[in-house]
Amino acid sequence: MITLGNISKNYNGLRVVDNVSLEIGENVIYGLIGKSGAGKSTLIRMMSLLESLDTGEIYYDNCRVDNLEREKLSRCRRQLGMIFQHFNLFSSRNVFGNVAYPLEIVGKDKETIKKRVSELLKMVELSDKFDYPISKLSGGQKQRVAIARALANHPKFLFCDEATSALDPQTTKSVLRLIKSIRDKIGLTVVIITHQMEVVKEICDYVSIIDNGKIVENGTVKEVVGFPHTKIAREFISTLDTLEKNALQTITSGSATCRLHFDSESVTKPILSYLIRNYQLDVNILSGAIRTVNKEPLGELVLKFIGSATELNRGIAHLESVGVTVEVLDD
Amino acid sequence: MIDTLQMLIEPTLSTIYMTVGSTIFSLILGFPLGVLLCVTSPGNLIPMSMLNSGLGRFINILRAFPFIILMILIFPLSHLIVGTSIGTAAAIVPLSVAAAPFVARIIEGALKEVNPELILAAKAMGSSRRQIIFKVMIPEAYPTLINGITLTIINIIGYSAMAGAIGGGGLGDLAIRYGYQRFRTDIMLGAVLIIVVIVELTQFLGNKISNNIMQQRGL
Repeated sequence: MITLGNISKNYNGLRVVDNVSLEIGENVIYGLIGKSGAGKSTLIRMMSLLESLDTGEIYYDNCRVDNLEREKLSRCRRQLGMIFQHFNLFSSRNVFGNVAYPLEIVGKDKETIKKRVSELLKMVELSDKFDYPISKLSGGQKQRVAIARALANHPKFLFCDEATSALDPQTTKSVLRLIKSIRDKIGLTVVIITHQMEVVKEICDYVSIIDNGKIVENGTVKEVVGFPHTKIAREFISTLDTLEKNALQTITSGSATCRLHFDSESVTKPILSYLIRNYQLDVNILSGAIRTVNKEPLGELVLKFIGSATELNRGIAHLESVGVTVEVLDD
Repeated sequence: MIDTLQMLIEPTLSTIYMTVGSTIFSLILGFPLGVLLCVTSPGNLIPMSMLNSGLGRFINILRAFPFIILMILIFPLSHLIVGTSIGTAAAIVPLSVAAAPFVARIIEGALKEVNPELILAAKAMGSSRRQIIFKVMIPEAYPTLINGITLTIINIIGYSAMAGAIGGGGLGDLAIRYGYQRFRTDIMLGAVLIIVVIVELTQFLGNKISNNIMQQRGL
């Protein structure tokens, strides 16, 4: 378990991380999503003890770790693994040497190292490439070597700093699946920093949205994707489908454009046809999507309602009464 | 002809002896200084700005000295270490002292080229500072380090010719005494030719080692 208590960090008078408190449970995959410059990279570097705090406290399993001396800090870091956007593998070592590095620095003997490295390479399906130089690997293979290296000393936590941002969508998926399967197999708390909602949707259990150094929204992925409260959360979710933003802007007044969020129960019901039959409303569908989050369907529809104000309000009230969250985008 | 060749053998050996000896000692002196210069620089592994700028200034002063002056200033030191201030062995002292600051700058430059993200990754894995320097920074910089050391050796060969002027022996000494002062053009040409060959050979070997490392890394 990782606990952050009101941590803050300033750079040149700018507050990059602002009073963040967070609890990340055991064996959870936790996503931290934000735009570039939102402070998420600094946040993960603070969590992984690479960056000092200005204020606040960090605990690993109820043990305070933000105020350790150098020796203890090095030792403490050995319970965490980290992977990076640009992999950060050592070009002076081949695949085997890279995975062996964390074992060497803790003083493991040659036999143990050999055994553990081959175990790890098998796990990331790169056993046949053990003697390859790093530069001869593809991006996905490099990240898999980095994962093997990060897990060498049986860490409790894996920090992923934009680990899939330099990879194509296909490779991203396979790397994420690998991380998830490792979590399921050996048990691991994973913290993922990303700017891609797809990553969060693909493997995270929980997500926090970060804006201007603050956590603005928190919850299970299902909650945040299904029922976003803040504008920035909605922006991230809307990147999931190809909603034509221009279409929204040309809608004239006298009608209402709404985004409807259906949960797994209401998504299967013929709510819209009931609405049209019982209220004096016309409906124009602007965009729609049904996504699967953690194997449960969640629906989203952007509609333009045309009708009198009273009918509109009655209609929206009806929708909310049957469990649909309605968000009015404009009037 | 045979006479000329015979005259060239001993000075050649002296030059090689001076060069190898000075390279070793300048590395022993300069390498740690270079590592220190790199890791104490701002934002690096162990930032210590006072030490860093002090050391930098000291090295700059040492490098600014004309070699011939430095050599004379160092006579007492040579005498203290070797027991004499004249001869090939004694020349190694000023040569090492003159080359050490150069080595330090070369090493500093090579280590600074190492991607800081790699150092971050090593830190995140719980490496100690010593492990980061010796297991990450230095190995990552091998190709650049080898090129720098090659450059150092070639510089020392050039300096050793000057050391000849104050009785250090070697090919430079031979070229001046016989070639220049006694008009023995054949000996002068022979000496210069041998120096050219030694320099070429050094460069060739340096390139080969550096390229081999690059090839191993698939670069």
